[in-house]
Amino acid sequence: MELDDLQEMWRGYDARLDASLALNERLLRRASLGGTQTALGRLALGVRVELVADAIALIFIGGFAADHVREPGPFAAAAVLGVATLALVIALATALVAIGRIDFDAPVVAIAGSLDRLRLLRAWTVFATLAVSPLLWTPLLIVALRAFAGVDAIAAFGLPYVAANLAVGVALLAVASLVARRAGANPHAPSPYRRLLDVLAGYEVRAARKQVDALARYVAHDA
Amino acid sequence: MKRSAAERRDAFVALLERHANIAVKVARAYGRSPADHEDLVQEMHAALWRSFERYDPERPFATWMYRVVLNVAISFQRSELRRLNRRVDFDEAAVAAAELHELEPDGRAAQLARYVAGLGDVDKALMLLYLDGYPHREIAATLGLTETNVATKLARLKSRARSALSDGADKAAEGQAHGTR
Repeated sequence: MELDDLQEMWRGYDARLDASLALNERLLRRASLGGTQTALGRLALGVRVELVADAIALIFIGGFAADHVREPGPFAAAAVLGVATLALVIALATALVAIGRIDFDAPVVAIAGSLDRLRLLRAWTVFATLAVSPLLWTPLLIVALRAFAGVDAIAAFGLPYVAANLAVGVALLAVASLVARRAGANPHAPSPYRRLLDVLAGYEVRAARKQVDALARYVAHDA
Repeated sequence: MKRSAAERRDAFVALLERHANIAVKVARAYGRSPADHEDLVQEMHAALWRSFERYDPERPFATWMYRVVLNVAISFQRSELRRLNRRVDFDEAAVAAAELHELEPDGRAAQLARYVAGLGDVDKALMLLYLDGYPHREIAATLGLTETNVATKLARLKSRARSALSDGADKAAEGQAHGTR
């Protein structure tokens, strides 16, 4: 087969596609140009909602820390929660800026690179959130009890109780990670949990990193 | 003179209708099911409309449109956005294959379309632009690669296309000889 045949063949495909489009104009009619939200727009909306919720939480935690600066237990718990929430707010704001900078009028490789980096950032954010959550349960308990019930958890339940809670969090994290790695090796794992397990096992981060590297290699062949 | 919003919209719709097959062709190459194709075409129309303000009428509309729809298709496939769309099941994949055969009763162009659909994201864009007859310079500008790189990658892709299509033809002949469909 000559190479020009490929283009000739493709022109035939085009002609049939034109005929098919003439018969089926509904795709064009269905596009309500002004109001259609793109998938990227929907993602930005989701990130914005998360960002607002976390910013509100950060303000609350900051206020709590300021009010309890003389109480070492609640203050330390609020500081830990504050640092974790601040990191999340920074990650979400970075993602939002990255989404806002994506311009579909730019060269394809540049957009693909931006999307790959965005995916990596989101994968890291979700992985870190899931990995740290069991450990944040204890400071959250201390802050919530103090803020809403006026109870100092460390004084009321004793340090061993708080330490046991922290230990349960660590154990839960270890078990979840083990289960995720085992399930990851099993292609028949139930699909609703698939993504959660992939994230926990670090597969999402690894896949995103691989995609970033693959594109870099593709473009590097340009040199 | 500045055009009114209605005039701008009419001009856009007229251009879009004239070049509608670009979006459909790219959607078919990147989407995996008829549902994907429809979602993608709608996404493309929305993105084109949003970017239309920045479109320079001095440039060919088809080239600009190709760049935007390829970016939408790649964003759909590469990023986590795909997960926002429903999963493709085997029935949908079968419908997509049937749709392809309906368009290509002789089967050869279907093989080519299938070969293109099986390529990596950027290679797919490269091949689509080549098959639509764009010169290396324009392909390079659309993709953000150098002309040398485009030429090297295209040579590799064309050679692989040739052997994939020859293999397909051999298998089809073998299938006919054995009375299979």
